[in-house]
Amino acid sequence: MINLNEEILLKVQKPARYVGNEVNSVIKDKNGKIRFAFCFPDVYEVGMSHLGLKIIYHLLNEREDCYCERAFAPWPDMERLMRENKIPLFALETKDALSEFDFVGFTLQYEMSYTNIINMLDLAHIPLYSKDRSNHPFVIFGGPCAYNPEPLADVADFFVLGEGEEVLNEVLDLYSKWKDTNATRREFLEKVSEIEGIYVPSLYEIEYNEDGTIKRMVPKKEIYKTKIKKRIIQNLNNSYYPEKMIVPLTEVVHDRIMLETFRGCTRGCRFCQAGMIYRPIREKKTEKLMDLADKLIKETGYDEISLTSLSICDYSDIQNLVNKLIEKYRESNVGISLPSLRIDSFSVNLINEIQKVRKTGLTFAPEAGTQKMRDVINKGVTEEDLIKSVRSAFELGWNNIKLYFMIGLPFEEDEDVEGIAELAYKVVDEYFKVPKEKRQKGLNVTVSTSSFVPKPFTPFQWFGQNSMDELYKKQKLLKEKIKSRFITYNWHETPISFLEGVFSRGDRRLTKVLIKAWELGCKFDGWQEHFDFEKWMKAFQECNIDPHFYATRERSLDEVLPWDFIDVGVSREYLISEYKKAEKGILTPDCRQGCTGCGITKLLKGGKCFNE
Amino acid sequence: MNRYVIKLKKMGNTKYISHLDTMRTLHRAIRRAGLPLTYSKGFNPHPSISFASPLSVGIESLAEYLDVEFDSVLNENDILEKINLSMPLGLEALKVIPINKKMPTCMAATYASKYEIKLKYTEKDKIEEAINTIVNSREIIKIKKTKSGEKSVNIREMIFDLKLKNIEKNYFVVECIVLTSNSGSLSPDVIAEILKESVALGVPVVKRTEMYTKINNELVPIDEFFSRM
Repeated sequence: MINLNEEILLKVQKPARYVGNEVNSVIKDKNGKIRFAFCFPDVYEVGMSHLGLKIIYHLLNEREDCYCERAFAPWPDMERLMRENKIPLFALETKDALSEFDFVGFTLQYEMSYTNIINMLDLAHIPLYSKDRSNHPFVIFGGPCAYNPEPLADVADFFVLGEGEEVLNEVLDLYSKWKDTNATRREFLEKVSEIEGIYVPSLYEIEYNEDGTIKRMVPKKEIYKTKIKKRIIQNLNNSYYPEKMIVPLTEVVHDRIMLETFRGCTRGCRFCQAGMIYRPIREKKTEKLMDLADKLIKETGYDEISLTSLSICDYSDIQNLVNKLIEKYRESNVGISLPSLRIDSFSVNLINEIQKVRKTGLTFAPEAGTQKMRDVINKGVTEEDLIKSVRSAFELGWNNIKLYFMIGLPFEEDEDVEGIAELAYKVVDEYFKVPKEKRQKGLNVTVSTSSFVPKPFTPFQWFGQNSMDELYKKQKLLKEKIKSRFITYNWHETPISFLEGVFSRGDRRLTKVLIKAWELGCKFDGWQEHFDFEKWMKAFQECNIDPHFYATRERSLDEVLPWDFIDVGVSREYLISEYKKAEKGILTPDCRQGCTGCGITKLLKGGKCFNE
Repeated sequence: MNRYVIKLKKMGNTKYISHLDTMRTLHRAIRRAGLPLTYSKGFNPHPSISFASPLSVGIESLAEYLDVEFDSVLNENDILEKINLSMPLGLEALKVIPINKKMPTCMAATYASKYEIKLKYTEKDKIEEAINTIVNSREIIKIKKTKSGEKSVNIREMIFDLKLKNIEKNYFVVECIVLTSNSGSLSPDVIAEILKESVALGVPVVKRTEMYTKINNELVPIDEFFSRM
């Protein structure tokens, strides 16, 4: 156990990040347990806002033979003191060093957290490369970025693909048997690779073509499986969901109850990785949600509950659920929040009902500025939808509207970028059409653009990301077009998007770049104040790797992609047909209106997609 | 409106929770306890919980005071028991005192705080001398940064009592009573800084041990004051 005394904790910002001791955190006897460190490769406030952590943490701690604890990336001030005082990375519950654990599991939520993983392993004195580990914990990864595991292939002992609720229990069952035998680490990895959803990268070799593309992936033994299927929880109503959640002692980013209403999304937006990898849609029943809400409110004391999903207004019983929650908790001052709103007047009315009070900002994501582009990405909303929604928002008293867009989408031309400005102007015009006495004074329209990053398992996985120059030009174009004092324009840092593009579609050869960049001092790359593009470029150069090969190169449709060996359910044929439809601007309807044949049903028992 | 004053202990790792976070933590603890907390009326209802005086991050306390209001009259032992069942380890309610409407708030009543400051020493023999130097001086001028610039303040006037409590093998502990009020407060860190100029070193470890109000020139602990009324 590490001694964290005042000499350290009084010298850092927000020491509460490092002390644990939160309500509902789990304290139990560690002796004889399988020890699992759930690691989030970012600072405490970010990590503790992550729903997956809360589910897995409580799930694993339900097991009597397992003690799951948490670890986060220490902020640089703390890291410096830890290194100076030779304090290894520790878990918050027991303050034991991570090297004492059986499993060190990281969740991969965004590519820009990868250097933090390396840094955390180093701080934990765990060898960075899987091949160098012997009497060390198994380092495992899961989460959405694990669907392209290859950039971390040499770091990982294994990956967990898909929903972790069931598969982690299978892994632990296997481990507890293995622990009592004399079998080697290698033997465990071979054994665990037999579990569906588990990928052990060291069992495979990659052969490359002369042009640097992948020729094929070769299992080192014939018995190793060649296709890894993601895991799916068939019925969300019966699957594990915690009835209590840790209540942090210091404010975190999402400091409220997160009530997961459903997984998956039926919209089929072509840029959206979540919309593809989390298929199929599975809802929880309203009664189940009401029951969970009640328990969570009692156990946490939170006064806000957020209904989470990829697109909350698509929950089939949303109006009833919201009404019931409002009715039930009005007296006890529990607020309800609905993230991920769609652009339609139904959503505006719904949010008006729950925000009877302060009209803080309202955010819409048209994603693209012209109808052509919205059809390319299969967004399925029209300008009319947006204008109608902002009109009702203005009439209901909102005056602060945020609009999210992407630039750098496939098939985008300058006029599509200019269309973003035009749309923003139309929103301003709509405000002034509302009679003065009906609208709230002080209009503010914020336009934000992020730069599109092509992701694996989307129809745009072959697309060459726009170069930084192209993106700069588009941002400049937009800046010049937006002259209104009512409109503010924000944009996302281009170099970060470029690097994200490299890693999202990278292969195994990037592990060494990652480690080099970390050696040069890169960490917290998702934080603008820490991001150092020049160091990254130096790392690529020293490793003799061209980042453009990964980011800006258009792949041919028959190229072997680094993640091709993973089966997420959605078929390659479907993605190709979606890419082709995108080019022609042909829409694919929401799959609630009829199956679009993405392929997911073949992973489901009975081949049925929707909840009965 | 049913007012109560709660005396709390904030020890161990809870000392690293900031003032605002402590407010949030208590709010949630009271909600978990199922006590009928009163909320302000209006657009953005907030709970009626307020502390006598914010405690800096890193300071333990045996005597934090807060005002709370509940929608109904409750038995003070019930409140105490229920709150303590839902508190994080380290935070503990010590007393609950029902008070009437006309009483001042804890914040308005507070005049002074007692602290223990633990420091490492350089020369054991000079500790008492260093403390006496402070006690015997009539003026200790410190520059204080304010919103409108800097001003010099005589902090000696803000120290009501200062003495050596004990000397241990590696450290010594001083006990002081200093001004804590709406019109100004002295941070125990200032005293630690002065001692560090002569005999002390390292990071001071501070604990608040009591808070006082002033009645007829006499310092009365806050809980005693409210219990007397």
